[in-house]
Amino acid sequence: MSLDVMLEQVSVNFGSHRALTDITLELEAGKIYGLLGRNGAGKTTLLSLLASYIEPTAGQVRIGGRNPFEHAETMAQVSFVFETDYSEESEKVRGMLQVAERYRPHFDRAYAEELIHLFGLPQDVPVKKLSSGMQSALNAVIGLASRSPVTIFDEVYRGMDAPTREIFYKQLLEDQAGHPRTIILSTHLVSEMDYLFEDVVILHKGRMLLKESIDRLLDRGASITGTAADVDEFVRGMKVLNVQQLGGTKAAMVYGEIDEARRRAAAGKGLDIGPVPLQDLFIHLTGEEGSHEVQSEH
Amino acid sequence: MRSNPSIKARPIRHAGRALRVAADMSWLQLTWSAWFISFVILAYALIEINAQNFMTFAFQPSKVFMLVIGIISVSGFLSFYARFGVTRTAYFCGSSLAAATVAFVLMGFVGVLGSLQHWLIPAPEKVSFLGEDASWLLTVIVYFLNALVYYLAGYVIGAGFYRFGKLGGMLYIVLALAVLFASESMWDLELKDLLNRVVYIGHLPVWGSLLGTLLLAALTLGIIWATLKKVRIKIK
Repeated sequence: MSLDVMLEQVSVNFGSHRALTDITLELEAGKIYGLLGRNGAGKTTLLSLLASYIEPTAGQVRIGGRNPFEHAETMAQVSFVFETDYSEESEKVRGMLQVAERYRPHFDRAYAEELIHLFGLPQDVPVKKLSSGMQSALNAVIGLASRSPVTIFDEVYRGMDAPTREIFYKQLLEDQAGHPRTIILSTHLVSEMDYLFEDVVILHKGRMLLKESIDRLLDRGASITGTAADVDEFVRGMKVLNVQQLGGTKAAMVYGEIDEARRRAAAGKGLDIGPVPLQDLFIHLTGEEGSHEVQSEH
Repeated sequence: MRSNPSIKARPIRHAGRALRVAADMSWLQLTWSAWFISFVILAYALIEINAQNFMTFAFQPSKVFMLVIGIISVSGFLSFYARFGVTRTAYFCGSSLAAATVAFVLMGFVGVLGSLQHWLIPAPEKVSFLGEDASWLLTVIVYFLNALVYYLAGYVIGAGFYRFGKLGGMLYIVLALAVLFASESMWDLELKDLLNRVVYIGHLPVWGSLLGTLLLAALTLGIIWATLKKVRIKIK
């Protein structure tokens, strides 16, 4: 079963507020996607559409070729994991796993138990009594062990401490290798999670900014290091994101692909060309200037 | 998507999911009911055992209990089941079936306890709005329908608040009150006296009241479904 995700010219309005505008996007099944965007960019709205929490105001959403809204089979195959308000949830951890097992067709109980152990979650404690970090971990356990063909994690890692997040990332990659599915990770923690992404989708102010493989996206940025004068000359006319100088040595981050001839020229001058972290590219692309210049690639 | 060894091959349909929701919600609400009825029995034993039959005594608090669990049936369960990929359709059908199950079991239990009391120990006669000579079965059926309508009235309020927030929710309270007035006036219950001050309502035969209550329940369910079928699921 292939559950490719397709959005065609999708817009969402909440009253007079337009949350998403004309989104066209295709997510091929089986990859890990990073969904990035600043606060209010429309990430959660986009994810709510995939989970059938809302309907689009205009356009079409298709999962596995079908409209997922109120489609029993498709909705059962989409897991939308977000920071849940468990303040009134008196069900115990064990009970939550039982519910997941009853309603999620691919749920793996043994794997869930293993994760519970890894995260150090107590099974017989009501969920509302867990710390927020533990509640996030429980969401992660249910999200991973459900093994839904489309699995969405919307900022679920916020409550977790750094070691717990590391366990989560490691488990995500390991389980994805054995049971490939479409995983969408929406996050602010770009620098910490970029190695997980195969493709990156960036939303900005309710519009699609780009969708690209992480490698291609990273190729769009470069860090040029060398003597100050040489670096200045090399980056003249280029979009400079950031400059750092230590004594006579300067490092400039630039946006834009550098072709082979330019690379050779740089090497000739003893300039070092290195990668730019995704975080910096993201900040640049969604900054007030330049955010409208990128062409999305499909 | 490559094949997943843990896949369960059965197709997923609304009906199957609705039955699961019905079973799960019934079980949970029946546990609450068990607590509730224990307190009612205790209160009855302490204060009312010589004054009136248990069945008559338990009817009023049961209606209030059904109203309350009806109110929380949307906020407590719709988002919860949506998180596990259950459709609104399956939730609605499941929770409505659960409402009927809980009303039936609760009032059936009250009826059985009332008739046991009647046969085993000398107890006051049940005096209900159906008259003293009404059969136990008919009384249980009528109590069941009334309990169900109270649950549905709560359900209407819960659905209204979930979809439209506080302001719209207030209008749904008015709607729920209208449902309760309509039901009570068909059964000569308390609210009818209030209504009679405005419009005089004559006496209906039992079959008319039964049919009228069933129609009212169906209409109420229709309103709830219209409110929920495309509702935006809250992220919370």
